[in-house]
Amino acid sequence: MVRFVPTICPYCGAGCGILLVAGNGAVVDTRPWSEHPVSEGKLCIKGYNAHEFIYHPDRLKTPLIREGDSFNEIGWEQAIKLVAGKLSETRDRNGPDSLAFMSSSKCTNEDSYLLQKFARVVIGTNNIDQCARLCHMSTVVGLGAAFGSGAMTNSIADIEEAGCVFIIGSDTMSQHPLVARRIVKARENGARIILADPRRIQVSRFADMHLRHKPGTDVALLNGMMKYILERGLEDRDFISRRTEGFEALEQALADLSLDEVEKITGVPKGEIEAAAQLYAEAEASCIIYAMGITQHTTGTDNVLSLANLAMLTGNIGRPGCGVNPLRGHNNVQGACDVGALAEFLPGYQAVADEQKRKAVAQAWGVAELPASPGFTAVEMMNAAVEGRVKAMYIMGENPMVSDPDIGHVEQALNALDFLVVQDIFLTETARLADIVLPASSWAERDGTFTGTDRRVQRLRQAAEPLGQSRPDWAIICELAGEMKAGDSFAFSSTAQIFDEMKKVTPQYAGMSFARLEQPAGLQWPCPREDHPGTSILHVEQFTRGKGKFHPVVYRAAAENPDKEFPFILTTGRIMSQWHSRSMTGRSPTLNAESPEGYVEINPDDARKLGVADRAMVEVRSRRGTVQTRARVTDRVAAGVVFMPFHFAEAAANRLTNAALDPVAKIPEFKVCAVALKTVK
Amino acid sequence: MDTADGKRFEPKILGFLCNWCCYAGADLAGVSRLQYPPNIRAIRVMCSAGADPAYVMKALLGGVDGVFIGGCHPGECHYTSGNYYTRRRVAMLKKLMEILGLEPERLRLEWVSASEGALFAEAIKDFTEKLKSLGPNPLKVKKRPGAVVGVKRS
Amino acid sequence: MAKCAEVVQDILRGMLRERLVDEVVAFGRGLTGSDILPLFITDEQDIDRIVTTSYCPSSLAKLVARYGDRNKKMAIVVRSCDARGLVEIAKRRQVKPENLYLVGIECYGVVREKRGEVYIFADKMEVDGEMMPLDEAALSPNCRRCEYPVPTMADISCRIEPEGDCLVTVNTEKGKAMLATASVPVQDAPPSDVAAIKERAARWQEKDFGDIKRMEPGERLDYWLSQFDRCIKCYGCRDACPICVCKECCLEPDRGLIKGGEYPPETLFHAVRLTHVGESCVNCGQCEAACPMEIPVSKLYHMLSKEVGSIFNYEPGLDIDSLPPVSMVDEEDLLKTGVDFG
Ligand code: SF4
Ligand code: SF4
Ligand code: SF4
Ligand code: SF4
Ligand code: FES
Repeated sequence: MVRFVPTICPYCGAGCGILLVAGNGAVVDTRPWSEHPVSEGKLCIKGYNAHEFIYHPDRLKTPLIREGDSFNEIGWEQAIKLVAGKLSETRDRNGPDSLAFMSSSKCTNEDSYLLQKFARVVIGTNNIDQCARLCHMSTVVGLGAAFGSGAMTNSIADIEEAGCVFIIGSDTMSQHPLVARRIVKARENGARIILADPRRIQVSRFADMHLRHKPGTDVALLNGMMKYILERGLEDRDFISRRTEGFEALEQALADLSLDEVEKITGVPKGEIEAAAQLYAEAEASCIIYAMGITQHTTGTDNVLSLANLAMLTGNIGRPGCGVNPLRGHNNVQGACDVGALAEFLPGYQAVADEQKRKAVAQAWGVAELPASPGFTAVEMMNAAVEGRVKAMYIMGENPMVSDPDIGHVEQALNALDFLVVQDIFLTETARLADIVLPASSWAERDGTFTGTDRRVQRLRQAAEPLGQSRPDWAIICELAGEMKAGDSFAFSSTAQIFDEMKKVTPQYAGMSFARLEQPAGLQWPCPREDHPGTSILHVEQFTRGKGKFHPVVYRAAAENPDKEFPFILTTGRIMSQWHSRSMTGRSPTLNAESPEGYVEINPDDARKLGVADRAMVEVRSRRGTVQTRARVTDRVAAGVVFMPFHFAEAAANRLTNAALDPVAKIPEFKVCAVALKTVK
Repeated sequence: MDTADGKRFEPKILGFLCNWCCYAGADLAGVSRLQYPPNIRAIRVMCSAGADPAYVMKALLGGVDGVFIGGCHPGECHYTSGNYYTRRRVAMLKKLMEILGLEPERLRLEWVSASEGALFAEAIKDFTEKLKSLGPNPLKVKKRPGAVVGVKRS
Repeated sequence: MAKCAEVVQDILRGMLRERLVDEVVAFGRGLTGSDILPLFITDEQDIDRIVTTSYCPSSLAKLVARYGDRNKKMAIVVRSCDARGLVEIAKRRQVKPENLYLVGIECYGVVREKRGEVYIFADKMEVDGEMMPLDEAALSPNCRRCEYPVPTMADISCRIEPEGDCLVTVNTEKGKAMLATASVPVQDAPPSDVAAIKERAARWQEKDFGDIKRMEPGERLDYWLSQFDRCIKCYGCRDACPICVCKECCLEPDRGLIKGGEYPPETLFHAVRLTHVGESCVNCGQCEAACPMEIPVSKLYHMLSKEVGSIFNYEPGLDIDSLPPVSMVDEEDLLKTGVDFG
């Protein structure tokens, strides 16, 4: 007999509902879940195969301890004792800030919440971060500054209401296919689609316009559009005066801009920029969709601010079918940020530096004091480890050895540590460097909540027992806290209990409970009261910060630009059937069969000049490293630009990428670096 | 009919020819120096039923201008009924092509025995003419943007 | 009003209790009581959850083929397209018909998008207890083209009357045994008037297919190419289809036909499935319902199956003994000499 267990897809931030098919105590298949409001009985190929890695032979089943170059199995009790001992020892000897914690946007809200609480309460450090830093920190910071809330303003289904959809820096069809579905539906309802992307991605096949700007020139492009809107008087004066501030500064900043200049910088003909601006400004409701193509730049925050400017300028905020909509990469990036797994924020985006808020949270947690200064962010942790300021690190469910920029540097950092614990479901590239590895149970084997990209908090439901001796992440943290004499603050026996505490310190979640989340649609935050239906559109009457704020932004070039020695721009991204560091998709036979190896996309003209044939091996070299991979000759990329998916450890794009950081959000520039190509004999 | 670049259009034909009849018929046509257009690339199959509809579609969607299937006359198939299956499949394929918007005339089935070299030459000649009048396979010009193009090493 | 559900539940409960079957497969209430999930039931208590509303999110036929134990006796609550799907699955030997006990529900269409508790009747619909004129636009597109409201291939078929009565017809010997333990009085239903439905089906087939047929060939090709441009190769259409029951599927990468890792996939992806399924499509609409990109796949497959069916005088899903026309040869073939069929 089989059971169909409704739960949430563990891959992208769309947060589709799936039915896990469970039979004889094991998960055997995945089916779409028709009652789910995001996916409505449809899925992408990742969702359909979400069960495939669960019983992969590589699953960790017992704790492991390093012995020289290999690992030995140990029991839980011993492992917990060792980890607790080491963490206490490091804290006592070198101070709390010599420890750093990395949570994961793959884990549940309850897991991330407990790990940040552990770092702050048991250790006393704010050195807690996760890979949201690498994908959407510029969103959190940028939209936070402009609107007061760094989250998707509207909802996924709401895109259908748009009259114009402006997609920039998002390969929506392959990264968030079930969001792309709404773009397709919007188009069927008559919406016009504008795509701005350096690559001819799938959306370009049905978009009304495709602006193919050079990687890293988004600010220039957006400023150009705004300039034209102002020139033509297409701005929404009423909205600007009622709902925003700082407009004059924007007007001034754009006064001297010339569209010819913009054309030169971006490579997009002036006429196209104007036409796009016109379409966007004139539609009844225009919706902006963006992802890592906007955020992963040294100008990431600027890019996000520019989008916020554009939306406010035309009054496209707070109504159905409009808004500024960042698409989150991981299933639970939104949640991991919401619940405080960030170096500068307590749960609910309450700044650690804000004394009043800090005190309130400390009180709720029953402790006297919480650390006040912001901790190290993801990339800074690695730097601090190299410098010897961080001595021990605890990594939960993250694989920086593939996903971080400049992996050579990460490796150096992790090797420099006195002590590294990695808690994961597989022995990842990162776990191989650990002193102790703790086996976590997979997403299908536990309860909890995930928060999708449109702020939808949804229930994850257990479909099978944990494999071997693996345990849910939260349970491991509780155990560890107990061992470190902090058991009282971590006396949880279920995720529902954790949720109940979490909502008390996370204002956005205040009105939610597991019982309320039982409905297929979950609840969208903010949900301040128990009778509150949740919020599908933000900033309706007023912005979270009161008035929306324009932030004039000037174009700055990327940190590294092509030159004689490195004549190509490398841009990186993801592909449909793989996901992130491939620790899950790489172990899913169906997904792996689709795309088993990495490649580099090269324009046919460049290929001809270089003498590179389709599928030939080429060497890609940057100032930081060299990788070999296969060429894929396609006009998807423009001449002078090459693209690599970053998933593949053996042809790791991130050996090449630049770890230069956005000055505010500290997000690295994954999307632009300079490389040289040559054929391999 | 001329192609866009001004060259005379020479249709490309893929032939699935049954080893026991049509393939030998084609051979005979060659040996007897019967004139027929050089537009066909033949694949030998052990029975016309070896022309898998999926592969017929693969050829047509890949840009081949026409597909020719040659099989044994009814009653003469070495596997008794392979050619009957082929006939039914071709009927289905023609409907499929029509619905998709490809001219069904781009697919042709003929019965050609090993001794019918002249018939084979005639059939190819006629098919080539037909394809010339239809013009190039529309899929050749309808390239989709952003697809992988296999550029060869120069 | 429970609408027939109680009668159906009663029949199934009896079958389970008397061990006529080991398992019952149906749609039933899920997490909150208002959402619906497919259920495989072995415990009599769960029978209460079964519903008969006109919202059927997936093909139970396919779920049975995928997850059912062929050697177990199963009762399945089916609509006619489900039953026809099962007939096709049985032809492909993925189920043992002797082990299946089909409880049919007469069906005049289902809604694609759920809005409350819906029951569809021949000429009206009930939404959350309120009767209103039938809104054809709300019906799933395949249902509008469907000419088989009565699941004659099921062992029994139940008709829900707008007033709430449930009329049961026995179609087979097995059906008689299935009713033996039912405690509700079961009367034989008068034959359904399907003429109105046939008229509706003809009208919508003419519309859906006519729209395509009336295009110039080049225009038609452009139409389909632009539809397929949106395909993300989720394989959802294949996975949902009751005809696609192959263990090894030709569409998967490295089987010589479709390259892996390319999105959208080549047009061949769709063409191959068409060559395999086209003649046998039962117009259940599941492929289209599963398509995230709103590609009208069911229209395409149904159209091909109608066209092919008209050449060979064949209708899929009705008779387990008549094989798909392209996979068989009959007397007539032996008499024909030409290359064309027809
Ligand atoms: S779109 Fe995202 S959430 Fe939905 S099935 Fe695909 S990977 Fe999973
Ligand atoms: S092709 Fe579509 S409509 Fe036809 S039987 Fe398969 S799933 Fe049903
Ligand atoms: S597409 Fe063809 S090979 Fe694949 S499952 Fe369907 S019928 Fe079988
Ligand atoms: S369901 Fe739709 S998107 Fe998915 S493979 Fe089929 S046609 Fe393509
Ligand atoms: S052997 Fe020639 S057609 Fe079958």
